[in-house]
Amino acid sequence: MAPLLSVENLSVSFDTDDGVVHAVDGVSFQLEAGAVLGVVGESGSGKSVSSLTLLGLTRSARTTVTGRASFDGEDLLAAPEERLRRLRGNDVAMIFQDPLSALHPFYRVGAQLSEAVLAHRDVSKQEARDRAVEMLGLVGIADAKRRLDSYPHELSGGTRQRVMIAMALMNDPKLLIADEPTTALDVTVQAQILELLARLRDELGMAMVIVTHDLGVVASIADEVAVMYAGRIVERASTETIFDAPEHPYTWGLLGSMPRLDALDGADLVPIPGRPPSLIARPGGCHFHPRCPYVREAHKVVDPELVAVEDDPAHAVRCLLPSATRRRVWQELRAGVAPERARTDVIEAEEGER
Amino acid sequence: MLVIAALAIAACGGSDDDSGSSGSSGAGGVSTGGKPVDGQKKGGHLTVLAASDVDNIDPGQAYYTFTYEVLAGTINTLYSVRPDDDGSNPVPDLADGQPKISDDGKTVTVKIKTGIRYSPPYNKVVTSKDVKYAIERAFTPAVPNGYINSYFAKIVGVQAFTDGKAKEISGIDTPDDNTIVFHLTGGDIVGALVMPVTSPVPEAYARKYDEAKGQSTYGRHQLATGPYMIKSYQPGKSIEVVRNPNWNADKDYKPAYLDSVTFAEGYEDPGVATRRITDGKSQASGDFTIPPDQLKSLAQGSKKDQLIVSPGAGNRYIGVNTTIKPWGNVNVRRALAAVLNRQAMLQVRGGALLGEVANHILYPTVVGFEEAGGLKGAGQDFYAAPQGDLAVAQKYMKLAGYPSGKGSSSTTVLIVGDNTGPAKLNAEIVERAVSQLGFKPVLREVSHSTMISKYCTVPKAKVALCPNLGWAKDFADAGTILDPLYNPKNIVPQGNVVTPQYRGSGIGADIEKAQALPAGKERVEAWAAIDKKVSDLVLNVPYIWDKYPVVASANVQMVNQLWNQGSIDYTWSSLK
Amino acid sequence: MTAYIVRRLAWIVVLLALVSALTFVVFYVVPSTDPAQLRAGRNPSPDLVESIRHTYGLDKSKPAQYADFLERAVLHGDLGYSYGHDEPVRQLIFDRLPATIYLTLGAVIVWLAVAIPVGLISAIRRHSIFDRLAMGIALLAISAPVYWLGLVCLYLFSKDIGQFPIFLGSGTYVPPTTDFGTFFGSMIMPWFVLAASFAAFYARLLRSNVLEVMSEDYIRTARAKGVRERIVIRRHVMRSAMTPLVTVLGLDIGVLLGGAILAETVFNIPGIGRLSYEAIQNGDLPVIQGTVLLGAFFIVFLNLVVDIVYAYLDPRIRYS
Repeated sequence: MAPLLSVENLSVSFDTDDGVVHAVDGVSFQLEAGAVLGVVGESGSGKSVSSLTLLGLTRSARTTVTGRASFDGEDLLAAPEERLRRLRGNDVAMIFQDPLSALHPFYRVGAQLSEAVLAHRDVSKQEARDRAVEMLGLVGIADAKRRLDSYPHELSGGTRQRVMIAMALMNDPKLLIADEPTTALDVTVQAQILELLARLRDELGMAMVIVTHDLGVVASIADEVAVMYAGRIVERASTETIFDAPEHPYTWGLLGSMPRLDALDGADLVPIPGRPPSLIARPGGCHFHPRCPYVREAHKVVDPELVAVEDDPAHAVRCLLPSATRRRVWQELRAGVAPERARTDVIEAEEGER
Repeated sequence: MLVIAALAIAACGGSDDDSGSSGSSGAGGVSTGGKPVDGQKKGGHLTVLAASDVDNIDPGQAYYTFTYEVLAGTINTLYSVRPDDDGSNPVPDLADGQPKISDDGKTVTVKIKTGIRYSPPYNKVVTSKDVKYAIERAFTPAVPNGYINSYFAKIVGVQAFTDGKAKEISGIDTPDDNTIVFHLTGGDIVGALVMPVTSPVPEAYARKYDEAKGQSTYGRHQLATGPYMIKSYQPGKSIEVVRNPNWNADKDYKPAYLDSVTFAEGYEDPGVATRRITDGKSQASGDFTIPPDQLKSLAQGSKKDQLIVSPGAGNRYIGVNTTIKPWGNVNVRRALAAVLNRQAMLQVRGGALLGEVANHILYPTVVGFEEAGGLKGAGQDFYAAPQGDLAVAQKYMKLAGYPSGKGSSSTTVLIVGDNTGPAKLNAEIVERAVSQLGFKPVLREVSHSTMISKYCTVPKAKVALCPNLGWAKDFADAGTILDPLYNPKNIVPQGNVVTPQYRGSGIGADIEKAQALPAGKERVEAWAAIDKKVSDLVLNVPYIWDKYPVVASANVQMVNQLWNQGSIDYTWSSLK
Repeated sequence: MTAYIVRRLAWIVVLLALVSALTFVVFYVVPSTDPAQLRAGRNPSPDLVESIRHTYGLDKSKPAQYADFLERAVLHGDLGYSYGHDEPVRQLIFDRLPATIYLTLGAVIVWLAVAIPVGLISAIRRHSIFDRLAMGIALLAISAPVYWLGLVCLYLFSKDIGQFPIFLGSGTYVPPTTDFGTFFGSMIMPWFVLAASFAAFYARLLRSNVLEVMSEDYIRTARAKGVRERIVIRRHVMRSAMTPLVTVLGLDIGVLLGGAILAETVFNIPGIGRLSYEAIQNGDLPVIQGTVLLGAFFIVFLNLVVDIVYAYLDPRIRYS
């Protein structure tokens, strides 16, 4: 069976007054029906742009999109706008970060929910409202009927995000793209929303793409994780592998900066030093080299490919370090060694051997 | 009485030689008088465009040129002036024949035409008592009148009436319905019998309006005796006059060709209004002054027949306060007159089309102007150079006790002038002249009405020079200019127009003497002598004798009131 | 909400009292004209000036004069008697108000009808030739003074003095009840001239509002829902982009109802603006008071209306 969503070599660039922004550069992934893909990266890594591009929401005279993307056998990048519109909110739904700004402040919740149905189905307003009540109930909002008449600003953050999710579910989509679904929420509410998404996946069998900067978000829900950096996927593996045996220094960084309940020795959080690169003038060689603790001189020139790890075809990494070296470093880091120390222990030792 | 009759005959003989004014205003072949012609057509509607409203529609209160223009067709004053006359030859209007003046000049008897009827709703016949009431009401606070004290106060019994001691003015007799007799304490009243206050107001009808709270509202309900009556008056918007059904053409010398006239107000932009009139049909100009550039192109272009520029629109002078140093010194005043560039002052107002450089106070069309030297003036060297002559000015400064010929810059001179238009430019030319004399001018520029009511007519304000003053006669007698402007008796703390506040040289006595003279040659010459004296003493510096331009559409046979600053006379104008 | 409105209305009364007091003080403090003096004409007898002073109540102390004014205005709605025109001020105002209202409302319709499509299309087709051209013209129109533009239009298009005689010119105003055709014809140029700079300003404002709203998350949400672009623009973008315009519009209407002096002057429309202009020139205090109060009333009242409408349009705003 063909995958539900298949993206091949997707590139998106924006022509701005400051120069060409290479937001997405050669991204490929596949998603089976009912599966969950986590796309993780810092802001500006191109993770949101990828998903928006698939739905045609980045189309403009100044945007260049190349590559291939097919959904349910349909070419998304070549599809006319009207066809994409019919897909949006119907077969593919999206939810966004910060539900307060993502909901129209001037319209009642009920109207905004109904609109999603009315945009695609020839139903009466009452039927649309009934559907809205049903979906609000499904996402766990008590007193759903009364909530229809609320304005977004009258709701709590968690409830708003539930409304957003309900809105996405209005037309039984096959795929749900959740763009930073929990970022603007309290920690406890985050957990509730993640729980809800997991439940919906199980109950409705929807495929999901969860876009986030927080690896913790995808830990419990995603089947597979793609880590993005500077518009590219730098590591892709099953969720388990990403957490147990990650091989990209950037993924290590993300893990190091992630608060974990099982953190060893009460190790401190280690933020990734430096800032994400400019997407207009990207660094030469490996795009991550300016921030990589394990960088070698050659990495500044040679651009790595995304290649599968020797013994795991589902695990691909874009790194110039030999796989063995990467595994050694990860062992050190996992044992609680600080990155600088790990570098001395592994990289410099290797160089000494030579 | 003799004088009026004689001059009236002269007027009939042709007004080409009147006062020498038409000869003096040779401005590029522009016609200087819109005179009645043969075969004027009857009927039609004329629209007169105006910028502002009348000052007050009540004939007892009216005191503006434009208001006179409007009322000319609706009221009959005892005497009035034919359109082609400069005002020196009034003819009987409501009056039946010339006034009879007793030998001592103190009793003036006027007969009134019989069978003149008021317009609806009153419809009754005019009697001499109505004229008496019209004058009396103008002496009451309910009917504020700007000139009544100047020209009618010499009637016996006025004081008792205004003090409230008498119910009527004892010096006005009405022995029968067609006779009115004025008993005077002296002087002349005949010239003033052209003023609107002499048009009849029936007490039986008007009393209720005159006794309204505050000011009289008679103006809004006024009756007409003339060929037209006011059909509607919307303040600031329009005044409509239509034919008066009760008018008897046989008893009035005005032809009244037009059927109706609308005075359309609110044309604040004179450029637009002028264009509208010259390019349009059946329109004429009311109260505004045509902009100089448009005036020039009109005067030189194909539409010059639609333009009339009339002399005698008034004078312009710098008010000089002789009670403030150094202006008490006659030679400093002469130095100012000498250095002043009057030519430039005329130029900024529009040049020769709009006036002439003045060298004495009386102006063309005023009776006595010729006797006072006419256009040439009395020949003083300080008036000799229109562009100003610094050498002459320095000569007078030396005479004034400034050996260097220059004043001290520590002497400040307060000048209060207008803040807009050519008047502002005029004030600035005066400012320059003062600094040429070596003094330090301090020019305050305010709005015209503020300049008048808060500064230049208030002696307490201690203004030295007022560059934007001017005066126009009320009727042809030179006394209507010289008495209010120079008689020390008229110096008042508020509303003072005797700007020099000068009490020397026997001016007061001279004026009183002239005022006491009956109409005639002797009176004219007395006024001419006073003009020479005040001009020689430079009590005020005259700089322009104004002309006034009016325009009409090509299809209008325009006739204008030379006596009323050249305004359109709709009782004589017609459509072609 | 009701309590709020009542409180605001009370404030309006206080504010108007302050405005009238201020007008009164300004009139007497800055050098202006002496009404009695002007009324008396030249060379008046002191008695006459005094009697006029008395008639106008100017012989009383200044506070007493103001108290008189307040008493008449508050108890009888009587704004006094014009010094210049022989009419009660209230009558003059009621007489002149319709013209100003017609002028203002007509111009509002014109400028909205022009500004809304132009601003919207400019925003949607940003950087297009249409956008550049429209915004260029708008910049010119904003900087064109009404008086100048009025004169230019008169000289170009008025039937009496224009090069291309199309529309009725200056001074052709008649009330619509008299002759609607003439009224409408005479108002076309004033409406457009008065509307020009407003249309330009509103088009630019709307354009930038639309651009701002288009980048809002909730517009992305609407699109992600699959709502048709036309409806996204109409229902989601315009609703948000127009709302801030309401505030500006309310205030502009308030100011214009207080008298569109320049447009009324150049086209000779007998409205409030010309009345107040003449009153200031003639030092006609009662009329100045009346027109200033009227203008102030319109401004504060429309402010209140704007706030109420705004609360209706934007549910996030609640007054208590």
